[in-house]
Amino acid sequence: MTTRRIWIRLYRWLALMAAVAPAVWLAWRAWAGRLGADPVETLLHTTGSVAFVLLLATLALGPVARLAGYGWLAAPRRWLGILTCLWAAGHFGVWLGLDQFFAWGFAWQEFQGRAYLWWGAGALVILLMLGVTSTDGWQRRLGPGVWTGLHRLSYVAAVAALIHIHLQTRADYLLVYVYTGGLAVLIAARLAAALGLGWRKRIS
Amino acid sequence: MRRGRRSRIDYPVPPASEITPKNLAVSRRKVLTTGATLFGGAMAAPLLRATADDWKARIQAAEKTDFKVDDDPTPRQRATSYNNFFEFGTRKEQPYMRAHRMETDPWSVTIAGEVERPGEYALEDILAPHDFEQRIYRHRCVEAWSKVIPWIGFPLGDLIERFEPTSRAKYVAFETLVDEDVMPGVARGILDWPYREALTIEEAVHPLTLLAVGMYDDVMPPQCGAPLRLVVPWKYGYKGIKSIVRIEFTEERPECLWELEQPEEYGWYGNVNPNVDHPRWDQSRERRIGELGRRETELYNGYAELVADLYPEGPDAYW
Ligand code: HEM
Repeated sequence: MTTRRIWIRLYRWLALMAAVAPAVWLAWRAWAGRLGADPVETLLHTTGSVAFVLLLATLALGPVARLAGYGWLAAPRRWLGILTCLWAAGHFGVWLGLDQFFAWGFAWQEFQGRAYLWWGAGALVILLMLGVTSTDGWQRRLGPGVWTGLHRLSYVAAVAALIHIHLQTRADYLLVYVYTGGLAVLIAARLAAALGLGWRKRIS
Repeated sequence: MRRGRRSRIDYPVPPASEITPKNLAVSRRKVLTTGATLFGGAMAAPLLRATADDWKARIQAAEKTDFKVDDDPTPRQRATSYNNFFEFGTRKEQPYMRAHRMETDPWSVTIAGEVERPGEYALEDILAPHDFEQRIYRHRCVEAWSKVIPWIGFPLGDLIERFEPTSRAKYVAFETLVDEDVMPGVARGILDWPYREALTIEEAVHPLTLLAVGMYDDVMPPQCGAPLRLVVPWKYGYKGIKSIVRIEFTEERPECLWELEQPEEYGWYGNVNPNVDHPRWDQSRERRIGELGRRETELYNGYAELVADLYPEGPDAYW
């Protein structure tokens, strides 16, 4: 193995650890009884926030690698994508298991007429789908065209998640603006790349 | 798990005549001047006591009343570190981390509007004639969480009576302190400050309605609305305005901050009602802070027996 490959590996593991670290932090706080006055809310908020930030980070790796001209920068993309999916699933699990306490009827009732939950569910379904098809096997089975097209849905998931967050925000929209700005930059970068504009051409 | 579990509340039930607003409607002046039975001993107290009242020292001596609920009070640490006080930030722990910077002593309250004795009064003078009592009330937030809090305070009605509202006083409006130096949410203008809330005069003089100066046998923590806040246990928490600096009596129905901000989510009455659906939160259940799962929410937060008479057209007409 070349030293270059070792460095890339290390980089990938570091990215993975960064994405897992909040879970260790939460587990420690849970063990120490330090999840705050309302542990359910702490868990809901943290899992949701980590999922969204990870999603943005995963989407950012491609453009950043291209912009920097170092393809290997995008190496942890798949792992981060899978972790995004796990965090989102954990977020849903906290809601269904700890908040609703598996009261299915009531959980369904909660969905009635609450658009923010539907947007969250839409984002989650996409993320789960992408997580399942993230393996080499699925990549081969679907073929590069279909697979890439399918995985572009990650942007749709990000928009849906953003709407999910926006709809439940009250009074203080600062974080929503930051998230929106970040996502807008990523989408603009993707569109620019798709249209073959600007820096992408020069690099590739 | 907890659905279906209801906790019985236990309270001294005043005779119906004491809690119907009709008394006031028929002859408010008469009630106000002969209100000794309605308002207990407060009539005997002078309007303002000249001596400096060490009101904080009286908090621990507050009489434990029969106003209680079956459930255990929420642990103090939880109750005081999970608060909505958007002036200090929208996260639940931010008031706990930041509100101690608010200067609550000295404090004064302006009494204004349709009242015989308007003016700006020092808090000591406001509090001097009132005996404090402890009442354990449920507290239900519109965000579908709840707590059980041992408040210390006195009936708002006692205070209202002292300042003698005129016959035109149909509503009571309240305002919270605005201080952008210590309130980041104010400095950043996240809402149209000051925080304003209001009650009908009948709601305001209802024996359950409390002006609180403390909780858990101690003075009110700043994040919970020190030094003086409103507690209306059958309404959503947003009606319970904190850190009050102004009380105004009006003939017209005052506009409230949350009502203006999001009228479809924060009704003017804000009565706890599991049957009035909310765009964001399912109001039929609530999470007791610190618990897993949810409990059932009760009409008027379990105080229906005492307050239903205030709302002759039925609960769903007043949301
Ligand atoms: C079926 C799927 C989902 C359900 C049922 C769900 C439910 C919830 C609930 C109940 C809250 C708390 C709302 C409140 O405190 O009022 C929440 C917050 C949040 N959710 Fe979701 N969610 C889902 C999917 C997602 C996904 C896929 C993401 C991100 C990729 C996400 C990101 C967030 C974030 C960041 C917050 C926190 C917002 C804040 O507290 O400021 N959610 N979600």
